[in-house]
Amino acid sequence: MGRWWVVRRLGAAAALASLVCAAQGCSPFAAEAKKNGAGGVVVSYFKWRFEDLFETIDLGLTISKKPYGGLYGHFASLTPFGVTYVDGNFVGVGGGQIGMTRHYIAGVGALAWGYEEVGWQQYNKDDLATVQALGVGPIGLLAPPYGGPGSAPS
Amino acid sequence: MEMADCVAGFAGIDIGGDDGRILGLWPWEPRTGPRRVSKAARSLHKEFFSDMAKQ
Repeated sequence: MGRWWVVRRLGAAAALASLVCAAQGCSPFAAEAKKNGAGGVVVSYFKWRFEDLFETIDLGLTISKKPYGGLYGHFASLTPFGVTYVDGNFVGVGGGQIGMTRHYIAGVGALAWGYEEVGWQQYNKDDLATVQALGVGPIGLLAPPYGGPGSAPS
Repeated sequence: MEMADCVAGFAGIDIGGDDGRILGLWPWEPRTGPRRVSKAARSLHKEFFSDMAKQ
């Protein structure tokens, strides 16, 4: 049982997950192959990976007319700490966009548990259907509210 | 969750359902109508942020 055994097992797990995912309808490769052929699948694959990677980066400044306060952060939603409530205009790379866009973040965190609400571009902070509301931290991720798989609003 | 979607995407798994289209919904969530809001989110919003929103 060596390194290749682990690699083969991981490969088999990924293939199985892909099959299950495709059966559920969350893999768009079949539709893309029908539409644009094998070449289109390869181009789209890298385009979608770039978009996904882009969505993981939020780097910029938030400017608001009204003063807000915030001292809050976490690593990969696992270590939330602090409190923040900010609603303004975000300048930089964020929410899968570059430039300036409306941005709202409210969060509380105590390392093991936290809760945050995040909105980009078009949202109403009083209407939770328009923002991403989710638990963070090891306990928060396992308890409701559970976040969606992507940014909100989409 | 975006990070998980990004990593799984390299294996061809689109957990975000956003490859080629931006949905921000799980595959089992309805594609039309407003997003569902959980009771827990409503209660936490009220507890922590409703006063801040009024100020």
